[in-house]
Amino acid sequence: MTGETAIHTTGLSKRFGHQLAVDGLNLSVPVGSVFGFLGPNGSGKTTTIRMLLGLASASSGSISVLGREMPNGLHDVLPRVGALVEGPAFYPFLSGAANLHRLDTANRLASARTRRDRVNHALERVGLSHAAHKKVKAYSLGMKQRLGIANALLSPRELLVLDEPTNGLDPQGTREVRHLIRSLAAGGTTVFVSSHLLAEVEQICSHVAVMRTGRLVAQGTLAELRRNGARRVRIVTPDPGIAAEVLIRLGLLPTPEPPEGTDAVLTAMLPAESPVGGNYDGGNGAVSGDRDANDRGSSGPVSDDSITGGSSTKDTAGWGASTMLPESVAEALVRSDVRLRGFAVVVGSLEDRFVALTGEGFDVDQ
Amino acid sequence: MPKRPAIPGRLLRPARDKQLARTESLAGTESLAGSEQFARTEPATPTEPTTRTEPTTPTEPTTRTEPTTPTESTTRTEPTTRTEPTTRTEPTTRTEPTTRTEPTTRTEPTTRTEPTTRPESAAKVEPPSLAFSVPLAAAGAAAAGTGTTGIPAPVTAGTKVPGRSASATGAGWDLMWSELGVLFRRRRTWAMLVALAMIPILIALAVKLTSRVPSGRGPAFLDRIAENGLFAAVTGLIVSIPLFLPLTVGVVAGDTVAGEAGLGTLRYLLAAPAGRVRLLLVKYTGAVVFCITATLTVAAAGMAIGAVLFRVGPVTLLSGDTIGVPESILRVLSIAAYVTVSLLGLSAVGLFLSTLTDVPVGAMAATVVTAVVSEVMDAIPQLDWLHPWLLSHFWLDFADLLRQPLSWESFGNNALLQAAYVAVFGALAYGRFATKDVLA
Repeated sequence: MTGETAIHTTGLSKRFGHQLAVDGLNLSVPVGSVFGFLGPNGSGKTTTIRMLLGLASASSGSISVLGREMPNGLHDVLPRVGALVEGPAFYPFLSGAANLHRLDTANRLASARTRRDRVNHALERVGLSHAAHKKVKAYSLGMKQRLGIANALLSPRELLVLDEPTNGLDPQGTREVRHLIRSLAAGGTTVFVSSHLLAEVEQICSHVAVMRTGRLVAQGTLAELRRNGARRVRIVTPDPGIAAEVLIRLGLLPTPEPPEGTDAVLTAMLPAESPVGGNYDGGNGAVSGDRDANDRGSSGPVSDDSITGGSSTKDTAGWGASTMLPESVAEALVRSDVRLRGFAVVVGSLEDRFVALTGEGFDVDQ
Repeated sequence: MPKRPAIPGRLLRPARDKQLARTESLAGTESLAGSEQFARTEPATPTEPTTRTEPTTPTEPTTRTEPTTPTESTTRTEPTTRTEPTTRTEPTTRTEPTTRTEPTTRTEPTTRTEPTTRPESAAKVEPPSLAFSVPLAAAGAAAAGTGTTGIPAPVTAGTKVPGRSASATGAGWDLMWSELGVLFRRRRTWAMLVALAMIPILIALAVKLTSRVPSGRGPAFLDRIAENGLFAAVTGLIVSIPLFLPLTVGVVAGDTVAGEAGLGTLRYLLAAPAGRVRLLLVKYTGAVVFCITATLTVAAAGMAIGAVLFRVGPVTLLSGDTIGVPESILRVLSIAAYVTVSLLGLSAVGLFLSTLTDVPVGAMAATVVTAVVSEVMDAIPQLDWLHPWLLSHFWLDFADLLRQPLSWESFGNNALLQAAYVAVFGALAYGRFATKDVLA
C-alpha cells in the first residue's frame, strides 16, 4: 500500500486532554492525486496535517508519508514535502525574498548555491517577483498567502500539503492557485489540499476525503463521492397528475416545483446508491476504490451509468434495480402516455453531499 | 535592583593606581615610591588640594565605611583574596583618588611623577586600601539614569554584525548564519545594542561635564575615568551587569523559541525540516553571539568614548602593577569575556523558558525575573548557603582580571557554574522541545 500512496495513515488518533481531535483516521492518498481534504472548521483537518508533518505527535496509530514511517523518517521525507500549514507565517521585518531564504536554510538538503535562483523562481511562480524586496509586514493577506505557497515550492517536491491555499486570495489569485496546483499535479506532484471551499475542491481535486469531528466520513475519488450523493429525476410535463401517479407507483416521491411556462415540473429523489451515512460512514477509510455491489449489502443500490459515467457494475443483484434506473423511470412515464417535455437526472452538488456528511448549521461539532 | 552590599568591596578595589600616564619622570621618583604613597595619602590632600576641593574627600570616607566589615581588612592585604571589601583603610586611599583626579589639571604632573614601576612590596601593602567601593545604590541610580536618558550615539565598532555569509560552509551552517542574520537585522536588536552602548557613553559624559568626581562615589572606577578613558569601559560593564545586560539577554534568549512560535514560523522551520535539536542549538548559539556582542558593545563603546573624551594611557592594576595600553585593552576584553560567560547560564534559562510558551514576552519577562531573583537572593545573608549556586553569584567577581599576575581562578569558577546552568537548562530545554507538539 505504501508503495503507491503518498500518505497513508492507520488508526491515526490525536487526543488533547479529554477531547479526541482526530479519531482513528485511515487516510489513503494515492500518488499523483490531487487530494481534497474537506471538513468543517474544527473537524481535525489541521491537526491531521500537523501530525503528517511531524509537528505534533500522534496519540496512536501510524503514519507513512512517501513510503516512510513518519515520525522516524522525518528528516528524509520532509525535504521532499512542501507545506503550507494553517496560514502563512513570516518574519514581518524581513522582505519576502529574505523570508524564503531564511526558511530554505532550515532545510538541510537545500543547496545554498541554488538558493537564490530557487527563491526567485518560487516568487515568480506565485507572481510576487515585484514585491520580493518589500517587507512582509507591508504585504496584504493575499500576498502573504502567495508567499506561503512560494515557500512550499522552494524545492522540487513530491508532495505538497496545502492547508487552505486560496484563503485570502482574490478571485484571480484563486484561479492562479488552482492553475498552479493543476500544473504541479500534471508534473507528477501529489497535492494534498485541505479546504472548505467545495467549489474549489470540485474543480481541482481527483480525490476527496471528508472529516467530521475527527472522523473520516467519506473518502474516494471525486466521482465516487458525487455518485453517492442524492440524485433526482426532474420531469417537465403538461401532465403532472399522471406523472405523479407513475412515480408513486415506482416508489418515488414526486415533489412539485415551480412550473416552467405552462408545463409543470416534478422532481423525485432516486434512491441513493448507498444511502447517506451508510457505507461511507464511520471512518472506515478504505471505502472507495472498487465498488462491487455484492459487497454493498442489502440496500442494493444501483450503480449508475451514463450520468457519472464510471461505474463498473451495471447488472446488480438488488431488487427492483432496473426500475430505478433513470431510463426506466422515463420508460414508465412514456408508457403511461405522459407527455415528457423534459427529463433530466440532477446530481446533487458536492455541497449537498458535504452537508449531508457533515451536518447542517453553524455549530462547530465538538 | 538588588544591591549587594558586598559587591562594592569585592570588585572595586582598584589599585591605588598611580596613574602613570605621564611617563615623564619615572626615573627620579622611583625610590620614593613606597614612602611617597603613604605620604601621599593623607598629606596629599593638603598639597594638591588647592585645585581639588578636598573637603569632600574627608567627608566621604566616613560615609563609605559602613558597608564594609572592618574585620576583613586584615585579609585584604593580599590581592588574591577578593572577597571582602576592605574598609577602613580606604579613607586614606580615598584621598589619593583625589590626588589622582588632577590629571585634569594636567599642569602639575611634573611633581607627581608616579613611579610606574611600583615596588611590589609597596603594592602589596596598598591593595587593601583600594577603595573604590561603590555604594551599589549609587551605581544603580547611575545606571537607571543612564538608561533612561538618551543621548544619541553611534553604536561603536564593538558591535559586529555577522553578515550573511555568501560562502556558506555547508547546508548545516546555513541555518546558523540565517539565524544571526535574522537576529541582527531586527531593529529591536540594534536598539538594545545602542542602549547598551549609551551606558558607558553617558557615564563618560557625566564625568566629563562635571568638574570632578568625588572619589569613591558612584560606580566602581568612576573616578578614574577622567584620568584614563579605558575605565569608562570597565565602569560601563559594572553598571550594566546587574540589570541592563540581563535585560537584553533575557529579551533575546526568551525570544528564541517562543518568538518563532509566536510568529508561526516555528512550524515552517520544523517542517522544512530544521530538526528540533539543530534548531535548539542554533537558537542557543544565536543567544550566545548576542551575549558576546552586547558585552563587546559596552566595552568598545566605553573605550571609544573614553579615548575621545579623556586620555588613554597605561593602567595601574589592582595589584599595583602598571600595564601598557595594549595590554589594558586586553584586560578590558577579558572582563568582557568574563561578563559574557556570566550571561551564558541566563541564556540557557531563557532558552528553556522559551520552549514553555508561545508568548515571547512571557518568556522574556520570566528570564529577566530569574536574573533579578537570583541577584536578590544573593544579597540575602541568610541564604548564604545558597549563594555559590546562584546564577548571578560570580557576576561581579572579575577583579582578578585586574591583577598582576593574571589569575583565571574566578573566571574558572564562574565558567564552571555557568556551564552547570547551561547543562541543566539545556537538557530541560531539549526535553521539553524535542517532544513538544507545535500547535502555534
